[in-house]
Amino acid sequence: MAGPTAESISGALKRYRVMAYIVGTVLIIFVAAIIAKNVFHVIDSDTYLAIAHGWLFMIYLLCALDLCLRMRWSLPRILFVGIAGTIPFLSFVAERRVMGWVHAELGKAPAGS
Amino acid sequence: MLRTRKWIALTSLAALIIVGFGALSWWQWGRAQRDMITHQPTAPLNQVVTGTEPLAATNYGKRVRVTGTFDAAHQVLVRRDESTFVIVTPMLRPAEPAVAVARGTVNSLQDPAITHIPAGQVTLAGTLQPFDGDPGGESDLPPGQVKHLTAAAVGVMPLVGGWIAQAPAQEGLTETGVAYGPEAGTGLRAQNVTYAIQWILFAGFVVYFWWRILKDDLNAESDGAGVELPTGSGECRSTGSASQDSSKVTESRLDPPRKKVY
Repeated sequence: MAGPTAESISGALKRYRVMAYIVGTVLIIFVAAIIAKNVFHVIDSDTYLAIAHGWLFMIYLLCALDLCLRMRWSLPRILFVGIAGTIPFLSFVAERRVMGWVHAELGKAPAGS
Repeated sequence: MLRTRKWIALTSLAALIIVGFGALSWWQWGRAQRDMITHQPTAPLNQVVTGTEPLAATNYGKRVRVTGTFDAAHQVLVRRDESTFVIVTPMLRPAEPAVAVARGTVNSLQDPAITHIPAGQVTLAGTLQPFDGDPGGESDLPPGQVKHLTAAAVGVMPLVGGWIAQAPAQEGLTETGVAYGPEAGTGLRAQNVTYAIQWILFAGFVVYFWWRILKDDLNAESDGAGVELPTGSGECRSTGSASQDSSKVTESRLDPPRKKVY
């Protein structure tokens, strides 16, 4: 396995960001569907969205763990990033935070790495 | 020493998480089955009904199980429409009134399941249904067929005052549609099935990332000077990746060690 190069980290960050946006968006649609179903009774089922979010969250988690491991982040931070994929809007917040952390930490890396 | 302890802790944690995820998967698998007919609680018939009086409305749709032998001679076909027939076969029970059992539905009078009546003692489960009211009048149907399922149509005495819609139906037969009780034929809930699968996959993630952390650790060791490998297996030393140091983020980037948990 390749070590954590800046390049591999930027790839992992890209994958994580894409999934954060997808999962965040699907999650908001899912929540809207739950409300539409249970409060306004305008749709019958949100099962497909639940299933879609389930699988997308899995991919999100895989990307998030991959990035966290490459960055050697602490367990609380890993938990925060992972759980963010299940709480509406939090994945967008997490994505901003992760960007900040990665840039701050990679910025310290020697030039050329 | 510290390293060994760390790995014992990490491995135990991973094992615990895997067991936990396995339990969650099992729980979701149970939830996926909650609508299935086989999952509804059943009571022995004689705990619900003992006499032959018409079924009390409070017992409509109750899940029961019953043991007895089928009385093939008194089987009747209840005609639902031109080509749909419910096969009703009385079940004889020693010392207790017989009970009419709808074994299932067929779409053709040539269906072999009609005459394929299980022999000997049989135990089955189903939901209790009330008999139809007797409309009286002459039937224009061939012998052995009836329009309405009544106690008289079954023609066995004494007979429990309601019938059992066998569910799940006998093999090869379609479950009889019923007016009362848990809906027949409801399958697994897709949402919970996928969650059950996902918990297993999450457990797989734990193994994968445990392995990655281990590899990272071994690589870091072989990069560092003279730290003893916990396993002592030389093959685990990084083969090649250590030589790619130029492309690798140097340890200085990763140091001073952040709040590392692993």
